[in-house]
Amino acid sequence: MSAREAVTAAIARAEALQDSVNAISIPTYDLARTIAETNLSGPFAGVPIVLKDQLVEQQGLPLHQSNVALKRIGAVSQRDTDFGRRLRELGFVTLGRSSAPEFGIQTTTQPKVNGRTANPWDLTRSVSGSSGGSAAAVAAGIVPIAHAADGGGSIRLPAAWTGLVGLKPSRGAISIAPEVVSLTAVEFVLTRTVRDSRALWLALRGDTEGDILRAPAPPSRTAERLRIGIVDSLTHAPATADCRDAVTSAAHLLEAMGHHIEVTGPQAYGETDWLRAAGIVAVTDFAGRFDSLAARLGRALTSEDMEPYAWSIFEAAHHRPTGEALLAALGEIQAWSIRMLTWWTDFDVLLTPVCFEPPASLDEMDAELVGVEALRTRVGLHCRYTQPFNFTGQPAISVPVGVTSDGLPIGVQMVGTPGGELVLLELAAELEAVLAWPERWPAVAEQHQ
Amino acid sequence: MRDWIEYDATALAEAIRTGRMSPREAVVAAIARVEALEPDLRCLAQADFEAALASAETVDPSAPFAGVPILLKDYGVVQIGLRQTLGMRGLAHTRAATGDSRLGAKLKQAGFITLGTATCPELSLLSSTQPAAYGITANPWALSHTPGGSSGGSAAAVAGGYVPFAHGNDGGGSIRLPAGWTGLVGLKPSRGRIGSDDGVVDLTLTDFGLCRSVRDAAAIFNTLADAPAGAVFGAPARTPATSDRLRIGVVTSHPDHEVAAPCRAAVEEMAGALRTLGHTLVETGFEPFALNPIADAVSAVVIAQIRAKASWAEGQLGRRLAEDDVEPLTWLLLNAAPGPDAPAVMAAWSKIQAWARSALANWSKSFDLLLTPVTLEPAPSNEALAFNPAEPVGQALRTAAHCAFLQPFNLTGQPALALPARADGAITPVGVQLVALPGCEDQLLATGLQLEVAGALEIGRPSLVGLGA
Repeated sequence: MSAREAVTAAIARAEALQDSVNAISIPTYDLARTIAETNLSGPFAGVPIVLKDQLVEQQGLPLHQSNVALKRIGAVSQRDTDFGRRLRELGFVTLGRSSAPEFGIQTTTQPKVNGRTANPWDLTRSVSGSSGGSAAAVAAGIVPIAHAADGGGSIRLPAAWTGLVGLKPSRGAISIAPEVVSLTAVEFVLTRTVRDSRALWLALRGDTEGDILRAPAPPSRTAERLRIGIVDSLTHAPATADCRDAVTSAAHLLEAMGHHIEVTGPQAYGETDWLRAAGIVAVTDFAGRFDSLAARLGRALTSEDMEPYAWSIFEAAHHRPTGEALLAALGEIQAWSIRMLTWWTDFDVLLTPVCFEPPASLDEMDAELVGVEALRTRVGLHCRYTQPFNFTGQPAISVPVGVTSDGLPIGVQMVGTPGGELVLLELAAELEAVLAWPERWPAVAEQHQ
Repeated sequence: MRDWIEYDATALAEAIRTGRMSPREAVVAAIARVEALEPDLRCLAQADFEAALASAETVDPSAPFAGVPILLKDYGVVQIGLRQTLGMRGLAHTRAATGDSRLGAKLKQAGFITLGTATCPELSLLSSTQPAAYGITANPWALSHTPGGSSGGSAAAVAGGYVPFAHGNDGGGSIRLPAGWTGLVGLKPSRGRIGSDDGVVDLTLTDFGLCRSVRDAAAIFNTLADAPAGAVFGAPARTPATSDRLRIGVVTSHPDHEVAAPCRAAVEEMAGALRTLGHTLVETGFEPFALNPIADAVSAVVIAQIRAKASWAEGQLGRRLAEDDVEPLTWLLLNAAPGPDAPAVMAAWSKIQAWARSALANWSKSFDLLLTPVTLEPAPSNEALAFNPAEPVGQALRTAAHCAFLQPFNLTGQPALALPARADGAITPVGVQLVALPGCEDQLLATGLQLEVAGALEIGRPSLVGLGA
C-alpha cells in the first residue's frame, strides 16, 4: 500500500463515519494528502494518525482546545512541540484534530463547538474524555493510532469505554512540550493492539536535557512471576458489579498465567486527604491556562469565551493560591506519593478498575441537561481510580478486559512503578494473547468495512 | 593514631573497621577538636556529644561508615533529638525533632554519627555564614574571613578538622561556594538525586555535603544516592563514567562580571593538569548560562521557596513570624512585596525549563565536562559581607555575584563538583568547578579522582597557628 492509498482510505472512512461518530473536530485532509505525496521516512511512514485538540502541536495545524474563542480567531500552531516533531519523524501523517471536551477537563467529549462524539460501541453513549475523539477514531477503525493526553485519566478512561489499549506513561518519561511543565499531564497514544503501544513507547520515550521533570531509570525486573495486588472498588467511588467483575476476571487470568495475586493495595490509594493539596495544584494549572488564553486573545476573558462548565472552573481559579502554598502542597503530595510507592516494594503491579462505571449515556454527561454541578461531581467520580497516579507520576495502562451484558467494553487498570512501562506492556500483551480484543469490532465499524 | 585531620572518612572508616580505632575513640577525638577550635571557628548551631557518644556504642559495625563522626547543616535534614532552625533566631529554642527525615535516617544507616548541627546563614540565603542566632562563623584558613555560605558551618568544620564529612545542601551554590573558599571537595548532585525531604518541594536545592577527598565524595555519594520513588523531581538515570579521554570546555571569564586573577589562574592550572591527563581542553564562554534572560523567573522561584521555608518556620512556631524572629534582610525580603502567586511560580518553572533546554542544546556536541571558577573572587572578610543598614540588600547582591558560576546549574539540574586548586597569592583557598550533564555525577567524580590521584588537588591543612590545635 502506498502512503497515499493509506491516507485516502482513512479519510474515506473518517468521512463515512463523521455524522454517526463525529470523532474529528478539525479535519486537515488536504494537508494530509499533500504530506502523503512527500518523501516520507521513518518506521511508521505513511500511517495516518489524528492528534487530540490539546497540547501537541505541529506547525500549521489548528489548535482550538475545543474552545470557541480560539476557534473564532482561527488559532494555528507556529511550531512543532517535541511530541509533534517526533510523530512527524516517525513518518505519521496527521489527518487533523480529534475532538476533546473544552480544555480537556471533562470525562465526556461533547464540546459545544463540535457537538457530541458518539461511542462506536453504542452511539447513544459517551466515549468519555478527554482524549475522546482520538478513542472514537481508533475504535471505529479510522486510524490505528491516535495521539492522546492524560492529566487525570484522559487516556485511560476513553480507552476503557471504547475497548482500546491506553498507556499513561510516567511523569517526565516523554517531554510534553518545549516549555510547559505539568505535574500531572502526560502525552501518549491510544491503540488497538499492545504491540502498537509498545512500539510507540519505545519510539517516543525520552526527555530532553534541561527538562525539569524526569522519569527514573526502569526498575530492574527480577522475576517472570509478578506480584500483583488487586483493589476492585474504592469506598469514595464504589465500582459497579460489572467493573468489579472485570478486575476479578483479569486477576484470574493473570493467576492462571502463573502470577501471584493478592487482594490488597496501598493504603494511600484509598485516602482522600491528599485531594486538598491536589486541588491547589489543579487551580494553579487552570489559572495558568486561563492566563495563557487571555494573553492569546489580548484581553480579559468573559463568560462568552467558554462553556459554562469551564467558566465555573475559571471563576473558582480566581482565588489564586500563593507560590508558597503551591510548594507546600507539592510537598504534601510528594510525601503521600512516597508513601504510596512503598507498597510497590513488595508488589510489582496494582490491578484496579479504570472507572467506577461502564460507558455512561451522552445525555447523562451533558452539562445542559444535568447541570454543571452534577456533571462536575460525576467527572470527579470518573477520575477517582486514575487520577492518583497522575499525582504520583506512576505509569498506568488501561486494557479492555471486560464486557457488559450489553456488549460495551470495560477496562481494567494496571499500575507500575515510575519508569516501569515495559512491565505493564508485557502483562497487557499476555492478556491480549488470551482475550484477542483487537479482533472485536463495534457494529458501526463493521458496517463500513 | 595519625593526626586526626589526616583522616578522610574512607580512611577513618577503614581504621575503625580494622579495629585500629573504636567508634568511641573517633567521636572523642572529634569532640576534642571541636572543643579546642570552636571558640575561634563558631561553626556549631547545636551539639549533642552525649548522644554521639551513646551512638558510638551501638553503631552497626557492618555499616560502610560505621563510627565516622559528622555534622548536619542546620537546614534541610532532621534527626531525632536535633533542632532544625534554618539559622533563624526565632526557631533557636523550638523543640527537637522527634523523628529522622529520610536523609537523616539514610546517614544513620550508613553508620555516620552525628555530633550536632552546623551553622548556616538565616534561611540559607547568603554567601557568608554570620547568622544573628549563632554568631559569625570563621574560615579556618584566615579567621577574619568567611568560609562562605550557605553551608558555611559545614565547610569550616570539615576544613578545621572537626569531622571528615559534613552534610550540606546547594540551592544556588551553597555546597560548592564554601567548598571553594575552604579548600574542600563539594558535590552538588543532579536535581532529584538526593531530595530534601522536609515537606517543601524546591526546584533548585539538592543535598549532599563537603568532603576532604574526592574518594570520600564518591563513596558517600554511592551510599546516599537513591531518589525516593514518588518524588516530584525524578532523578535522571545515572550514567556510568567513561575512561575515555574527555573534551572539556574551559571558562575563565563571565559575561557579566570580572573574574579575579587567582580564580582565573586556578582554572588555568587545573586545565593544565587535565591536559596532562590526556583530556582535550577547549576554551569556551559562559554566555549560554548567563541568567539575565530569566532573571524574573529565577527571582519568582527563589522568593516562593524562601516564603515556603518561612511558612514552614511558622508551622514550627505555631504563629506568624515577627520582626524580631528574623534578621533585617529576611524581614525585608518577606515583606517588601507580595510573593509570586502559584501560577507565576509554574510559569517561572516553564520559562526556566525553556532556557535550560536551550542552554544544553549543544552541550554533548561541544564537550563532556565544563571547567569554571567556583567564584569571581577569593573569600572576602566577614566584615565586608556583614549586614549594612545603609544598603540593606547589599548582602543579597554580593551573594548573587558570588554564585554567578554556580546558580545556573541549580536551574538546569546539572551535577557539579567543586575541587580545591592551587591558589597562589590568596590567603584562603580557591576552587574550580567541574560540571556535567544531568545524571553524570559518576563522570565528575571519576575525573575528580583522576586529578586527586595525580596530585593536582590542593587539599591542604589550615595552619591554625595560635589556635587550640
